[in-house]
Amino acid sequence: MTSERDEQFGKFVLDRRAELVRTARLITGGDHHLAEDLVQTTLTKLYVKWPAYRRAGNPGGYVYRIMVNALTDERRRPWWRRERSTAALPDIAQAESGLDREGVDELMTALKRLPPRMRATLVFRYFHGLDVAETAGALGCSEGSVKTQTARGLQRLREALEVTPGRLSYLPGNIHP
Amino acid sequence: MNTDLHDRFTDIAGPAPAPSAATLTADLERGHSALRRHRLAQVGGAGLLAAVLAAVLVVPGVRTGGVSTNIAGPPAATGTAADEMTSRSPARLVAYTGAQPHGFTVDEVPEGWEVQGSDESAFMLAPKGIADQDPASFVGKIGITLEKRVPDVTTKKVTVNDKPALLATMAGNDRPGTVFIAQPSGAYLVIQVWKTLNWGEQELVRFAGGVHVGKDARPMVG
Repeated sequence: MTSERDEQFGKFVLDRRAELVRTARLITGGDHHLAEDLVQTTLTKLYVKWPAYRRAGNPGGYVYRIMVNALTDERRRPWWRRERSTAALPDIAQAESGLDREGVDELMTALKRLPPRMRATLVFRYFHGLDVAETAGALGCSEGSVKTQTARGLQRLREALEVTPGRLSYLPGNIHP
Repeated sequence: MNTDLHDRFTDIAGPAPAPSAATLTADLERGHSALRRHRLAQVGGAGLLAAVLAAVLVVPGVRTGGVSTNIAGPPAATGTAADEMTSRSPARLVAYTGAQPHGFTVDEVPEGWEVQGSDESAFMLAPKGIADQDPASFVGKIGITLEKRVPDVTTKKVTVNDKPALLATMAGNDRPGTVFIAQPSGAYLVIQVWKTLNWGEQELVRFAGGVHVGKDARPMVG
């Protein structure tokens, strides 16, 4: 079956899926398997809500909100890791960026320990470069909440990483963006 | 944006390949299944009415026992008028001569209806020329799916082609519009009729008796 919805959604998947996978890896704290599950869930929900997505004033934020809500929902479900519907997982090779592997692993561990919405706040702010208002739109919360989540998230990363001297220089100094 | 933190996030995120054709297909199939479940839930779900409707219909033009049965549900010229037209104009249940849906076969359809779309888990019947050409849209149509289980609904036991079946009146309906027919595989053939067709148990069971699950059909997943 093909329809206008299928055509539009298919184009969206081709254009945006890779970016969603990378975002999902970050907001799941580096869990590539859960990230793929999360992207599948996000896209499935998006397909159902496609007319609303097309009408959304900020469609990019609309998709991110679905993803964050799906992450929260998934974590409430006891079977969330059991249902897999793809035969093969995507390539999960790490980028060769020249950054120190140990430091990145430590950051990933620290990131994973943050609550999902706090993690998502940092990802939207410092990976996607969204400003406070855009992040609030993506999360469906107030700008004040974004500022609070950002400050607390950075602080908790500092606390988690400060046991290793020299690991903190890349964190923003001003915790109130 | 803090460049250093961005770089480290970039490293954690890693590279992501462009989606393959198989991935795209799988994403679409999950979307189709979810949309069907969503629409099923809109007419089903919790708080359902008991299945109490008798087999006596009050639909004008209904005949039973003849070669063909007049039932509500004619072709509709426009989507906006589909509901009204299907509820007031009789249509005969006639032998289906068009291309069979994928994974299923259907013996009879309302006169002037066609298979609007199908996949291995479902197919949709609709009046020819209906404005709503989305095969995943159920309004004013007949939807047939193969499901792994029966939802938590109040049902009445009936028999369709000597197979045990359950008749359900879904939320927002005042008569049965859905029948679940047990299959040898353990799955259920689910036939759901839009309420404005005004079908009762007799029409629903008769129509259901003409729908068959083929070897290529697969229960909905996702």
